Amino acid sequence: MKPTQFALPVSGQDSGQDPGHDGSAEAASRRVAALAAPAKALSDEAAFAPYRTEGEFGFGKTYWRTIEERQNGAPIPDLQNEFPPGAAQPPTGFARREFLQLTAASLALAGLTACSEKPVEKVLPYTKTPDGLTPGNPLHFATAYPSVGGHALGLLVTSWEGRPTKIEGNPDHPSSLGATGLSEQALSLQLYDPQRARQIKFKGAGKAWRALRETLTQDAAGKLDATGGAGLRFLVEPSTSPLELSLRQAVLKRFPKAKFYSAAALDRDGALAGAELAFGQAAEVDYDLEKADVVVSLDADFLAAAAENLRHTRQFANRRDPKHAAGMNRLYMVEPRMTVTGGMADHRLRLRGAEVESVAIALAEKLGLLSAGPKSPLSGEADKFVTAVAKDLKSKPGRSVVIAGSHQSALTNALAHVINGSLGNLHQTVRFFAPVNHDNRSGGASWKALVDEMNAGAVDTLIITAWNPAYHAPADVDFVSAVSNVRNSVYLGLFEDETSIRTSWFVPKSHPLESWGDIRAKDGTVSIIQPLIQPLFNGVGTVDLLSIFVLGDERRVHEQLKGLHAQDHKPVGTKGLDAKGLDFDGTWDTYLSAGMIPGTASAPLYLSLKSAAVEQAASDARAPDTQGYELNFVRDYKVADGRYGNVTWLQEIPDPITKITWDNAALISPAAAKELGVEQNDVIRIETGGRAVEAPVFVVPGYADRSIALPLGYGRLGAEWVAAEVGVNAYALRTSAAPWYVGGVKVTKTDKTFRLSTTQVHWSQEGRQIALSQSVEEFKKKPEAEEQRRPTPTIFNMVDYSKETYRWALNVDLSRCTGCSACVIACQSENNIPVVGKEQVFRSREMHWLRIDRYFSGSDADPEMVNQPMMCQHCETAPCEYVCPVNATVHSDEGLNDMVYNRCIGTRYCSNNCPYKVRHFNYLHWNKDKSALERMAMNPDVTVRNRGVMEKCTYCVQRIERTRITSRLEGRGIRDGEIKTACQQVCPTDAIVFGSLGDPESRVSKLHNDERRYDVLHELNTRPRTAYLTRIKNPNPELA
Amino acid sequence: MALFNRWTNTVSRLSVALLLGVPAVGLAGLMMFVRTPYGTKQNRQIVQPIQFDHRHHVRDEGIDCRYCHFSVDKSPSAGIPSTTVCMSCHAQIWNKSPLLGVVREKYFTDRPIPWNSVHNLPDYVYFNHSIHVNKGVGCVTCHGRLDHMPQVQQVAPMNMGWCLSCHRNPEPNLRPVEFITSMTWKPAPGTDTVQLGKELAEKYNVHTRISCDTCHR
Repeated sequence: MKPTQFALPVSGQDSGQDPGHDGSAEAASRRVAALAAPAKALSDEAAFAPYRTEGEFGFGKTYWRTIEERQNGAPIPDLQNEFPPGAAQPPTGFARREFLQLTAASLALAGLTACSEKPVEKVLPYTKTPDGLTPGNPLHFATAYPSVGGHALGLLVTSWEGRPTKIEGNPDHPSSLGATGLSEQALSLQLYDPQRARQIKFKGAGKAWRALRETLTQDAAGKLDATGGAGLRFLVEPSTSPLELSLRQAVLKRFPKAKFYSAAALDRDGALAGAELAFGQAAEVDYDLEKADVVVSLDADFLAAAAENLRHTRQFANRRDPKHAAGMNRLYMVEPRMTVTGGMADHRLRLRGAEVESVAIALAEKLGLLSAGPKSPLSGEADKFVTAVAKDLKSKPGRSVVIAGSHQSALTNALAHVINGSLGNLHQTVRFFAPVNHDNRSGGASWKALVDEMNAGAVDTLIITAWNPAYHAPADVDFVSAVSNVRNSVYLGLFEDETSIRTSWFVPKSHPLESWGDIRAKDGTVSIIQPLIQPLFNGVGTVDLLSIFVLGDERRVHEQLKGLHAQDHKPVGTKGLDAKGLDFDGTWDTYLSAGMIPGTASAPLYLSLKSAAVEQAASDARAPDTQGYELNFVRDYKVADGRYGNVTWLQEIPDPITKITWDNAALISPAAAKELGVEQNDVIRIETGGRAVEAPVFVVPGYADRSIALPLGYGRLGAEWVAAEVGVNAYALRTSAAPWYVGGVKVTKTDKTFRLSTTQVHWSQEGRQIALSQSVEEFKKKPEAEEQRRPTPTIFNMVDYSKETYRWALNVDLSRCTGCSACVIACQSENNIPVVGKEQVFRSREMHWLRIDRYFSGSDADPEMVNQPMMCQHCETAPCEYVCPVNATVHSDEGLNDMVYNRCIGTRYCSNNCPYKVRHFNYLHWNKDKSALERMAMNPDVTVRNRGVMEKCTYCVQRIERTRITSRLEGRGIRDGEIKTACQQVCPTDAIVFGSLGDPESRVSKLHNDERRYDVLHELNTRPRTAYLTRIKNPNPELA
Repeated sequence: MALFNRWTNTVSRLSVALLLGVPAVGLAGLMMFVRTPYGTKQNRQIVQPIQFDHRHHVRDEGIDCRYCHFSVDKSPSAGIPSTTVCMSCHAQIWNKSPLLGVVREKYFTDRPIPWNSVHNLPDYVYFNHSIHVNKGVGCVTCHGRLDHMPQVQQVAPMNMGWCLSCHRNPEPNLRPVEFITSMTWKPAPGTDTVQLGKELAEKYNVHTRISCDTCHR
């Protein structure tokens, strides 16, 4: 049955069994007819005829939320049965009388608890209040965090009396602009993880730092000094730290034969090799997408909420506004799977990962840069796509950009540079910087070199500061058994994991929020990492470990750091003061408060293309492997390469595309599922190179047929019990030769099934137009939003808010929203939202106040995607308020829908009556078993909710009230933009704007008056304060 | 012969009256109880680890409240002074007094003094001192005559009704901010107190709110 009717309780099917109270079948059927009549009237063709265009209900296009719904043309059983099994039935198991007895007994016992006195609370003051701290007010510190590639992301951390809780982006930092990615938001939870390693261990037995230090110092002074460090090897993370670099140089000076290897699961070797191929020298590529009218992505997921993407995301999103002075941009995407970036694309081409290189060659050929096209010609569809892209690119010289994925081949990356060069984009939309990363290569080649040395017995002392190499080493490189050949191995890690049990020494690492350090952004800007808290478990940093091997420097990290950066201090005159009259200590404090050292950004490189070399490489390129299935190893949106696996917030956040929580899965296209004869949750066996894993299937639209994606970072086996045994380990199939995609994979169906917990089909809002999306042409003709914001007549006396100074409202621009889900974690961190675990997510009990609804429309092979952040809409006529029997949810004078936890008795009527389904009920006492350490991550400005209480988005009322008091103490009004909700503050695309409608000049007022503005479910006359702006797409008419 | 004796009528009437009356009286009693000074924990003796005497410091020495509770006008919390604040004087005077033994011990061992909380609002209440103090609500208005207290006691009921009574009509409880910490300030004799309240509310832009989110988040 297609969902073409409003769901009214039509009980017609049951009428045969239920003759009604008067026993007459005729009377019963009369009643049924009466019930059915309004349903008929509502679905009447005539009633909707004026609005009917193409979709159901006549508003634009038809959306579908699940693959089953699309393919079977029917809502999946879950939609018909809205509630989980058993929820609608009365409780069974004991009789009514027994129930009453128990109720009475528990009431009586509950009454007794009131008789006991609450214990007197202690108040513990400081011995000496730290400088600048006012108890009760938080402080904000600038620091930085190394992204997975080693580049800096500037952060501002909120600290309550020395306890860091909330992470924000540093608005002044070039890579952040105020936003952060998903993983940075979760740093506070990782910091207070009770499973973090606490003790230095030697072969499993506890040791002191001094013992390790002495062992290594003696080794260094003895054998290592004698041989020039021939057996000394370091395995490090790719790093941009100037301090680390200086230490490495000092180590190499003392031990000329020592070597540093860098090994990362998410290496960027393709991009680095591509730049070397195109320019003959290493260079970092950076983009200015605000200037780009046409963006072509060759399998680059540059809009995913990761640290290195945030600036590009903001620039890209600014151009998704049809009102932008330079007009809307257009995004073409070529990719094997559905990504966040693909969801934003105006046109997508689905191809296997290996075929992307052919597209790059074809594109270069169409632009006249290569004499020959790809070895195996493109399909008709792809050829049409590439022709249109080439034409579009040609028409925008200097204002277009081609971006290649860093995991794509060096040739693809080089071709992107050549194309950009020919279009005059270099130094316009594309900029280059000298690499600040000390480790130019960290992929398969460096793994192989290191393991070969270890197997040959050439490694005597191995110092591992890279994250968990034993887990993510390529499957063809037996790192695990090679480690046993090393006499003395030391592993520095946050957790006792797969690597720690295989090395002789294990040292707990200090968290980035606990340590001093420095780090550089892509453009070279040096950021200072400053500790927010003393190391909780006496962890040490990479620098401490390296310092052991440097003679004569006994200084602590902080002093080393200050000493290194003293060179940036430029004294004027004789007193050692700089131009501002500060000595170095004063200058250093300005570095710390800004989080950056000014003037350290490097000038862009001006490079000349070596086109002949690229052309040669293109003609040498082999035809892509199109055998069998292709397996893509992809960076997971949540746990990255697996290092965030133990962070519950990240495990529970629904994946932006699949909405899977607490798992990864083999993601395949609907056509592939059909070919393999598998359905959602069936387990398949994936075999390549003699290795195999079994993984549950999840069917996702928009994937290239015969291409499977398996996110990395799951199937952990360490001591981290949150991460342990969640999902399947994709590294088991990943080789150093083919780290990103491998063809010729054999896939077979097994007879097993596995239950995945997804939030995808919960609270489906079928049939109604919720997330609007239009092409820019259609929009100019007639904005779809017009129909969706008409005031509805009402018989109620409306409350008049027009006289209030502040009328809070929120605006979400769907044109900008990529669905990256950073806001979900930001909300969770700000509002003390608990995690519930896989089992409870399966029962739809997840607590996220803000969720991202993801809708697909169009064909299931190549759909369009729209994301919609959905949270409490703060309706002026809130349906939840009418039904609360205890006034636990009421309106504030300024239009907030307040939730009063201590009044709530948990009837859940409000949630049942909420048309947006944004209220969340505490079925269990999620916070009960939290240790004192875990409780440190809580925001003290927000009540921690108990079992049996309803909760929902408050528009971050704690931030409103704090700002209100600050402004009133200063004798002024609240300025526009002064209050940012947590979701707004983190948003990489600036899609969320909060403010007061009382001020006609505020940003939110202007956006609420935009012609793209509409209200979700406006026909219910809820008059929400949260409004949305229609997503506008900019398709190429030639590809329509 | 009737099945029941006449006296059973009385029993049944009495039973009905008791069935309805006992819960009603019980509930009313409980509701009254939580409003009694005992229920609100007013005037209760709370023993502190140190015999700190506000009478001496406030009345005899004339130390302003904000000398120790320095965050009261800029933070939600008035703050318990750090031990350094105690020692700033008591390193010089009474520095051998056995009454201050705990202070010295905690100071030199860098351990907090475990004071017992006297004014203990529920955790879901977010009271902010700074806004009240800056808008003309004096210390004495809620905390009473601390200059008469050898041991601090809670004098106001500090329940929601009490908060709201002032939030609905703040004017009688306002005073000029110059006298915010004064324990003895009274409007000059013959002042029109109603008019004064109005003027102060106007002057300080007092704008009390009674929406739930004012205090509950």
